[in-house]
Amino acid sequence: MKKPLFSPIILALLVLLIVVLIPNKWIEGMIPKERINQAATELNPFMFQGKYVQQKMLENKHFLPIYGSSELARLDRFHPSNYFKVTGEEFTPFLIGRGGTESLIHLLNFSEHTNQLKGKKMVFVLSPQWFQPQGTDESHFVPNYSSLQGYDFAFNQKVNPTIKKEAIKRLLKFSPVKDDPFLSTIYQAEITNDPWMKRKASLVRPFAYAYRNLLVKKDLYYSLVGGKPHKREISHKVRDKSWGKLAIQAEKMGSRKSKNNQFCITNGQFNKIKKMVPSLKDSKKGASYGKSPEYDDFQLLLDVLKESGAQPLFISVPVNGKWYDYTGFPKEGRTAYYERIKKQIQSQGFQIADFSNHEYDPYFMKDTIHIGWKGWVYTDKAIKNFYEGKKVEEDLGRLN
Amino acid sequence: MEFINEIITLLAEICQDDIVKENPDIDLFDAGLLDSFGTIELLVQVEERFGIMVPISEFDRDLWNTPNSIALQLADWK
Amino acid sequence: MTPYGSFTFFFIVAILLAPTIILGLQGKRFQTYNMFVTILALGLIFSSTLRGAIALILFTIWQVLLIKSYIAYRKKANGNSIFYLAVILSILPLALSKLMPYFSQVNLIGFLGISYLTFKGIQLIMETRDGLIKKDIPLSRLLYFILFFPTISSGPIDRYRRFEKNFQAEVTADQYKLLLYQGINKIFQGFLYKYIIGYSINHFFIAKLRFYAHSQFEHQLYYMYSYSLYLFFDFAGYSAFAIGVSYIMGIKSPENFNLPFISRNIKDFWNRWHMSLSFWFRDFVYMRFVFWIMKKKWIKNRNLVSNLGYILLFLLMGIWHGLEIQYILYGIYHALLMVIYNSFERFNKKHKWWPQNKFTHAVAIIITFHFVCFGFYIFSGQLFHKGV
Repeated sequence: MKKPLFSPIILALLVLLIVVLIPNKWIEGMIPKERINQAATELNPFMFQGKYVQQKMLENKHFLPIYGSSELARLDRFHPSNYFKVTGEEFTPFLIGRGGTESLIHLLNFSEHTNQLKGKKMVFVLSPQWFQPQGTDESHFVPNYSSLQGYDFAFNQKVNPTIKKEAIKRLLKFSPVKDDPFLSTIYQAEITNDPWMKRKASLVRPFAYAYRNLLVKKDLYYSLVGGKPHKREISHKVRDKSWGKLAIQAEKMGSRKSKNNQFCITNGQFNKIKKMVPSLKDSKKGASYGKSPEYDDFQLLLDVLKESGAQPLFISVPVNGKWYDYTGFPKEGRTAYYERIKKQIQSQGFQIADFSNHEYDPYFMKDTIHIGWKGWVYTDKAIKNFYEGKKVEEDLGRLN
Repeated sequence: MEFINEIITLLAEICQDDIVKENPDIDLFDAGLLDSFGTIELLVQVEERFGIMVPISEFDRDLWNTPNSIALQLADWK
Repeated sequence: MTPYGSFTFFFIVAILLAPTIILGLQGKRFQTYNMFVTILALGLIFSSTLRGAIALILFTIWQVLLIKSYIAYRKKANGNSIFYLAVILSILPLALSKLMPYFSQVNLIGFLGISYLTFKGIQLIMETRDGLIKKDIPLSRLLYFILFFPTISSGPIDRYRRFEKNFQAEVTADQYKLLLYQGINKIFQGFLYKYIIGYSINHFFIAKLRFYAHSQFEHQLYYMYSYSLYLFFDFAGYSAFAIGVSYIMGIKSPENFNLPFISRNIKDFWNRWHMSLSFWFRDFVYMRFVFWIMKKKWIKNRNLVSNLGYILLFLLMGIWHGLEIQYILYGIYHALLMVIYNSFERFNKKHKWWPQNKFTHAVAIIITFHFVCFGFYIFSGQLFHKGV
């Protein structure tokens, strides 16, 4: 430590400079074309929060994006990613979402690609659990929020100003936005008439733009590195089967894998919650998903999809009825959600595959809240019909 | 010289160890012979026996670390 | 803007300090420019909350008036009651800001770093009382010392006489080169500690504890150790940033950590953990208390005096962290450990029950580590609001 040596820091600064100044085109050139295909089932959060890979994916007609949350990671053989792969369907599902990616997160992501959504078919899986009385919170928002998308939203001129303002008001409630000095200034300037705030924002804007460009570059580097493959089941046993046969297969598999409880929950999942089960009995008395700020957040998302001309199919996933009854969660609190969300979606003229009557359908759900096995079979059928341009609602009832 | 010897004798009393006399250049804090409490005992005794008043904040452990250096510092304050 | 909280902060500081570095490398004086940088940096740090900025300004005026008047008074007289009054008035804003939340929704008095600035104020008054600060301190230098921006939010707590030495020193180009080198080293050590190791512990372990722990007990146990390590790397990393930036500004702010997890006993630990704070309490609370009791000869039993001193020190330190139950218990816990260890040390000096060799040394480190971690577990508050 006695002898001052400055060459390492100078070298480090030089490397940093090169990394920052290298043209985006060069990095893009280095990203293998295969990356987009690989990303389809990687469920890589950096990809969700990024831009490049999703942009390339949307350009490619061959992909069908499926937006959702934690259920997407239940990659069993009935999952759309396996089913449509082994049945040789012309499209490949591309999964976007993980635990906590709720309406606001998807809203930012859609806004990032508004100009690519026109006529684009996509699937959106809803979860009743998003619709808590307080709506989404820090613990769900923070890990999924993307600075890049947040900054791009600030500079976004394509999203309808009314929607943008409403969204900004909501986003400003969360710490990564609120505590970001640049972004919060620009956001606040958008929703206020205070001339001082506006001036402050125009001062900040160039710095914010420079930072945004750094984030774009960062996303390119992350895309270059890529993610790691997610554990998934690839099985050909679902090929050349009628929907009815598949449903039976799914039931058999479900009953084999959930033997240690009466709720049709997988053994592994049940073991995790086993100790808490007695204390959860009747613990949710009086609860409801019928009222939540999430409905307004979701409406903003619908508005953005509508404006951009997207063609989404919404999947309304039920809860595990047996389990919810055990915890004392009232039926009214569940149906209030199913009905309200259905109305909200249909009033926009969007299609919905409503599975709310499958609450007590054994092995439709894989655990207390996640769709799996038979639930996926129904979903696969709805997606196939939707992709082929059929009316989904008319053909949900039974599988044969 | 006598003053230095007196100080070292006092230190040996406070540290309860004759090594102080044998090795007057030993670092008292590193060796665990003197701690904050011992320091105060020393300052109180120095004031009572020699009438030298040293403020506590003056006692910098980097400068007052060995019997010899303590004696020299005190000689300065006399 | 939180100091050292974002890349932007480092970037701005780097730009602000570029002239300092250029001046320093040419062997020219740069402290006047540094004062100017401090003003800019303070503006940046406190720009987000107007209330905090006002509180800081009022607090500073209060402390400066107090210190200046006490120095002026001390030149003429040395009354006990005036000294006590000055100390109490110096602590007053901090005490009020800690009590405020119990009476009002908004804390009008508190601001980032108030507890650390209070230490500097009290210390100046005490050293003036001791007759170590005799001359009047120029206003600009006093302000610079109190508001020195690298250490404003959480220390390390510097001492005025040490600070002044650095401030007045003529630094040659070669000396500055070394300072700059050490400063950069420290800052990068900070990145490693806070943003690589500390971040990873929190992000990959603490935040995912529910996947690793199979029972409530395991959960709490893992939390205890991982939180302790996180606390160290986060705070030591922060301190390294503060020290590094200080060095580049020609001020050798004191070290705050010296490998605390290899402490061989609890006393050793407090000489290695958050050193600038524990030394402050040692010098200005414990030693003064013991000195006072011994001189007045109120208590003859030396052991008892020492133990009372420890209890006072750690209770105060606990309360200083906050009035919440976990901080007070943390203080009591460490007071107890010190008292027990003190008795053990005395017993051992007589009976030589615990031999000194490599093996016992290692065992001592392991035992101390666990006791220390349990202390941080109390400190974390996990005991009192489970499941949050």
